[in-house]
Amino acid sequence: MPDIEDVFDTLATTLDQVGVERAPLFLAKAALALAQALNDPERARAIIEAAARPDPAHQR
Amino acid sequence: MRPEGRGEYDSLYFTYPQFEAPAADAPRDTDAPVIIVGAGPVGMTAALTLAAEGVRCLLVEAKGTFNDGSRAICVSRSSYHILERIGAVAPFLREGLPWTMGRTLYRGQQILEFQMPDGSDDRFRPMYNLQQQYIEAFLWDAVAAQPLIETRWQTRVTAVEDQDGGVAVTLSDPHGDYRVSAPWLLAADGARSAIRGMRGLRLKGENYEGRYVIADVRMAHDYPTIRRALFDPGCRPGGTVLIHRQPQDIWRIDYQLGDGESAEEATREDVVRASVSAVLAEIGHTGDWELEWWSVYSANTLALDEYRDGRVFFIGDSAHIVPIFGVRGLNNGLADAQNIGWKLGRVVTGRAGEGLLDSYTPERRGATLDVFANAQKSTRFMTPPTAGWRLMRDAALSLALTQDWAGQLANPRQMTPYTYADSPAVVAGAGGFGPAAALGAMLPDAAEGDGFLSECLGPGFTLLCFGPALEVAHLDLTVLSLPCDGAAGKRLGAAKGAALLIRPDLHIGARWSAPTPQAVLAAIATILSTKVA
Ligand SMILES: Cc1cc2nc3c(=O)[nH]c(=O)nc-3n(C[C@H](O)[C@H](O)[C@H](O)COP(=O)(O)OP(=O)(O)OC[C@H]3O[C@@H](n4cnc5c(N)ncnc54)[C@H](O)[C@@H]3O)c2cc1C
Repeated sequence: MPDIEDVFDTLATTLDQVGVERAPLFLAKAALALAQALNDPERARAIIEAAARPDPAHQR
Repeated sequence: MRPEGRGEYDSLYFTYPQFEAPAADAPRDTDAPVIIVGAGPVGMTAALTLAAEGVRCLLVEAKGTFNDGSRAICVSRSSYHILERIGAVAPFLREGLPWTMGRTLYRGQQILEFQMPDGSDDRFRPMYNLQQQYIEAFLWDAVAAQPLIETRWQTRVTAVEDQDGGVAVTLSDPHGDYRVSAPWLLAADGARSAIRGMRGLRLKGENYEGRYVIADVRMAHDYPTIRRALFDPGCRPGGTVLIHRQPQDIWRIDYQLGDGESAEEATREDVVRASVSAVLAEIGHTGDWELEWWSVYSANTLALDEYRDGRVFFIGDSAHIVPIFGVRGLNNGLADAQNIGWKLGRVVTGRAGEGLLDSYTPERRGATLDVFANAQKSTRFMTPPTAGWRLMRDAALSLALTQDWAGQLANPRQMTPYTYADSPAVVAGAGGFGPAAALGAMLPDAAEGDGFLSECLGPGFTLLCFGPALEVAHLDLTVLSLPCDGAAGKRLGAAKGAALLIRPDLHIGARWSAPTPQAVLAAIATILSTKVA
């Protein structure tokens, strides 16, 4: 998956650039802008909900 | 509150009249069918609506003058239509400052400019700014000229009691206490309604954290009548500021208090002066200004579960309290007054059955809940209640600096009239119209001939026929014939031969693609809860 790997790298390096303090605002902006670009509110909601779920291993 | 050395009614620009209580020897009994408690804007509008239906009322008011500060300032288009129907709109048109747009700034940079729907088909502008004292003074001029309304100032209701077929109230004035009764009572006695308490009823809902100081200042400031909202401005980091122009060089500044600021401290005169100065510096006003009045405010969404209690109806702030950002407190109250007025007026004069009154709560409480839904959204944006809301709000504002779609999240969703789609006082039927003429919606206006559609309507119900006028006769009905390719037909998306039944409050009561006289009479009978004439 070379494309998503690029995005992964960009997020990691950008997070380091903005620093810990501004990270939440940066991530909130990125999530909102990505959802807008996705142009599918239902899917955006489902992705957000899925990301909030605890990891399977921790559910026990 | 007012500056040191000035009394509660010591305004820079408005002279408060002083109204006397009834003379000691004036008769105190009444045979009016309706008693209205509270001569605020809502009580007076209800009295004028009843008078327009030929119904007398007794209007009692505890104070001897109008409300003490400017309070509500934004009067909506739908309210202007209400004022027009009761013959009171002329001074409002003369003095109100019309506006159509808003600007939102984030850290000093504009992120949104919104336009409210407006065009040559609209007789009135979407919004007018006018201080509440003027709103009350203009309504009072109309009330004083109306022989069907008896007003008693300095007369307070101290007790209320049900009677067979009516309500008795104890009234207290400087000369003593006495009892009067009437078949119906309208409680227009405001947010702290005494009647509500006496009936053992409570408002339910939410109180929000955010608190605002609202201050009026007089200054020569050159800026058009545009709603300005400043998010995170230099003068109040993290807070929100709203600025509105009013007549007489008065400007309304609303600014949010921070978490650490106490309301007591923030409303001290020197603190208010310093805060206002900082806001004025931010908007580039360098000249003189004078402080007129200020108050502190926090957002609530509170309402009664039921607006009727036997023969008592709650109207205006006594029934519901809404946040100011949607500018609906006053506007919704005026719509309550008109709604109960046209219905009760018809019941009292035998033109409608009491069943018509059952539609008051669903229609007007429905409107309140709709306001709550919108207000919750705008209040969360204006004063985020939690860390999560704040982070997302800031993210949206920050994106809005460069991307228009994000600015839309800051749109304040100003007043639009509520659609009574599921009301018992509308009649579902075949369409024949576009979405602008939804069942239960307020009739959109249209340029017709030399004037407007709204000016052609009858005093009661109106049947708008898009084709030849239907041959149908009813005492409460005016029949109009309009071309379906004219301005009204186009705006409403009318098919040839279709017809709309407009209620006295300008809401659409029924629609037909192929109307018949029988169907029209049956619909009017259903709405009025009577038998077909
Ligand atoms: C400080 C402040 C700021 C506001 N700012 C805004 C704003 O910016 N925008 C907005 O839309 N709305 C605003 N509002 C709300 C707006 O003023 C109200 O929605 C509006 O006044 C409601 O009108 P009303 O007639 O229902 O009640 P009121 O105007 O409160 O009138 C009630 C009347 O009943 C009388 N009364 C009370 N008890 C009795 C009794 N027992 N017997 C006889 N008479 C009685 C009172 O004296 C009063 O005159 C503000 C309110 C306040 C207090």
